[in-house]
Amino acid sequence: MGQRKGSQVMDHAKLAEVLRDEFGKDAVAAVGGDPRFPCAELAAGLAKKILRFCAFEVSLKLDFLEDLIAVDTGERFELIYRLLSTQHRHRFNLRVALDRGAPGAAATASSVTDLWRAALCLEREIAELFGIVFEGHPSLDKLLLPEGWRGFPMRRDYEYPEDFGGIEHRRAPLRKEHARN
Amino acid sequence: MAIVSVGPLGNHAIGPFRIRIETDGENVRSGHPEVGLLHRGIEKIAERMTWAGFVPYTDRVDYVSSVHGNLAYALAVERLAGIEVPERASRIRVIATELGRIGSHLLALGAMADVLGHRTFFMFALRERERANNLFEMLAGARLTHSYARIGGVAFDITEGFVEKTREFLEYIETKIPEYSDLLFGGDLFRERLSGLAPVSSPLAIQAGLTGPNLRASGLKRDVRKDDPYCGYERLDFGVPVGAGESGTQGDALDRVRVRLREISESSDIVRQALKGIPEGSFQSPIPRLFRAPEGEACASVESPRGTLSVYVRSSGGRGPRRVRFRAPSFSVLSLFPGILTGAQLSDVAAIVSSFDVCASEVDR
Amino acid sequence: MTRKRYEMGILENALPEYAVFSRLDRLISWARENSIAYLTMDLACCGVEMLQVSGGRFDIERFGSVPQVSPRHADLMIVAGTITYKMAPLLRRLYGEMPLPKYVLSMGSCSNCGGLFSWEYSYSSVSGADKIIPVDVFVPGCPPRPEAVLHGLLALRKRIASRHAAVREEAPGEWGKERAVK
Repeated sequence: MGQRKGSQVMDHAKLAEVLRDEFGKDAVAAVGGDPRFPCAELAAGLAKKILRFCAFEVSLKLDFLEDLIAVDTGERFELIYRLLSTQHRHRFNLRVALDRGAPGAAATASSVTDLWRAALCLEREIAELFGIVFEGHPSLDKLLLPEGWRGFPMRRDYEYPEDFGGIEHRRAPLRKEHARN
Repeated sequence: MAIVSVGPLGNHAIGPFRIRIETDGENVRSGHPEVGLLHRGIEKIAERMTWAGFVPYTDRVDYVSSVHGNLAYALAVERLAGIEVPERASRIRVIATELGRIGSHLLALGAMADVLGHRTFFMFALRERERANNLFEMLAGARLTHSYARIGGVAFDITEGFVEKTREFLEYIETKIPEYSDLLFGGDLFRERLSGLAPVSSPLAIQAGLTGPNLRASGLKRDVRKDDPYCGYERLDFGVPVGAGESGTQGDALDRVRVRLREISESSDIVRQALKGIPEGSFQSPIPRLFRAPEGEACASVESPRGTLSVYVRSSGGRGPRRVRFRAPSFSVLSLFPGILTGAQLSDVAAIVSSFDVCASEVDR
Repeated sequence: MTRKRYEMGILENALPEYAVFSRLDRLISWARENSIAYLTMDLACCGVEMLQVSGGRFDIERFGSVPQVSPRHADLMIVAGTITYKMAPLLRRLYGEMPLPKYVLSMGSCSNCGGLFSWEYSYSSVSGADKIIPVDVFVPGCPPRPEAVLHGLLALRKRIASRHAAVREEAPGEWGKERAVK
């Protein structure tokens, strides 16, 4: 990865150290050593504070939110923040685990739109596809799904709709006797 | 205050992309994009497909240059499963992706010209893209959405005559680029319409998460092929054009157009280098028919013509992915609204949107 | 004297069979076939191929077909690409705004039957344009080659010449009563 002279390039272990120094031992729940996807898991309660620290702290300066990935593992939701620094040229993956919430209630997370503008649309998409409510987001309107869509499609237990807007979803497959060449 | 809608059909973006504009007739107060008209749920489909069976869907994420979608997914799965790709396959991948970049930029510039009323250049761009399509047909069997880069390599080996035909194409396109540069920038049309239009400063570009030519037009030299190389790009010698505001402000629409045109010539350079001494060997690393990736997660990025296309895959050891996420470069353009349109003229809205080269299928997936 | 099927057209059964009416009929068909202005519903990948069809190499214009942006100016709607539930009302509306006689050419697998994004896979795609609007010609392919689209256009011309395409019924379903120009 390209490095500038004089800039520090950190790895996730060093990052975890820095965060633990700043926020206490529990700030970083785990540092994934998997070389395929190095990742540091943050404590859910401190996530917003830690992310703010990452965005503004001089040695980190993670000013570019490349992606915000939401995953439904079945037991919990995970939000993975992929952050880059344009100055220091390092990149980090930070994972935050969220409770699924009681059935009927939504899972909540803190919005990071005040740190990175890119989060405006990223969080809107996750909110409508997973049903995670981002507290502090200016307007969690539907982005991709039509108005009146029921359910959260990207959740593991989602059932496909029977119909929408008067159109039946199902289309009968072509039966062999009707197929003609 | 009237509400006018630009789109969803039209050449300002490739695919349905609608912007609701509040205007007093000429001046735009604010503009909000309405997307999701092509939201097909590709990420959900991934959970129902096998690893290899998902490849055609990766074409459709960015259908203007489908090789990049294929490649990003293939790289992510190869990283996840620890598959080594043969040298020959990597080299062919470079050739295919750069040809795809040329085709995509031609279409983007052509659509931009069509929006500005320069229909001649639109026709020229379609004509040149036809030649690139011919090459893809020779290589991959299809003109568009060819599912060429597969897990472990590429789908087919280079056919006889492909190298010669590609060299012919490159010679042809290299004579055409100065001609088109003159056509676009020598005359007044593009300059007067686009210079100083909707400039994006580099802090705004970083905040919004822009990548690719849109970011480079604002002066930042970031390119996945240089920062985080894949497929042997570190051994290739090429430049990364950056906008410098030669006629107008840095980061305006004209810079974005300029960067794309220059990238066509850089890509042609890369293909020339890549065609020299293609390594012998296999064009793919065979994977079992019912391929199962080990548990874990991985992420891979490629430099698509619109920016950084990243694919994140997570596996739980099954016959298909557990989660696939596409980070689409055009999605970041949404964060620029409504600010980018405030203060613009109604007649310039299509030109502004078209200068960002938005592909609706990327935004919506 | 036997008449070939395509000669019997719009005025069939309205008046006794005199040669001059059959020719007028053919004249009307000829005029309609050779000036099919089409509305480009450029929705997805097939839309790019549709642009290529209007380009210099395949040149749909030599058949008299010019792309139009306004539905009021169009005779043919080429539905090219996947239709989502969000897009469906817009499709129906644009179809309703086209004046009669109007035809629909469904281009590509997604608008024929859902294709890659049919009901078993995608939750937000409509499995075929014919769930929303009546379709005259289906052009298979993913995406179809421009030659295939031109073939579809030629098939449509034959259909225009026959009486089947002259009268459009309203599409099934509860789509509301928008103002369709008759």
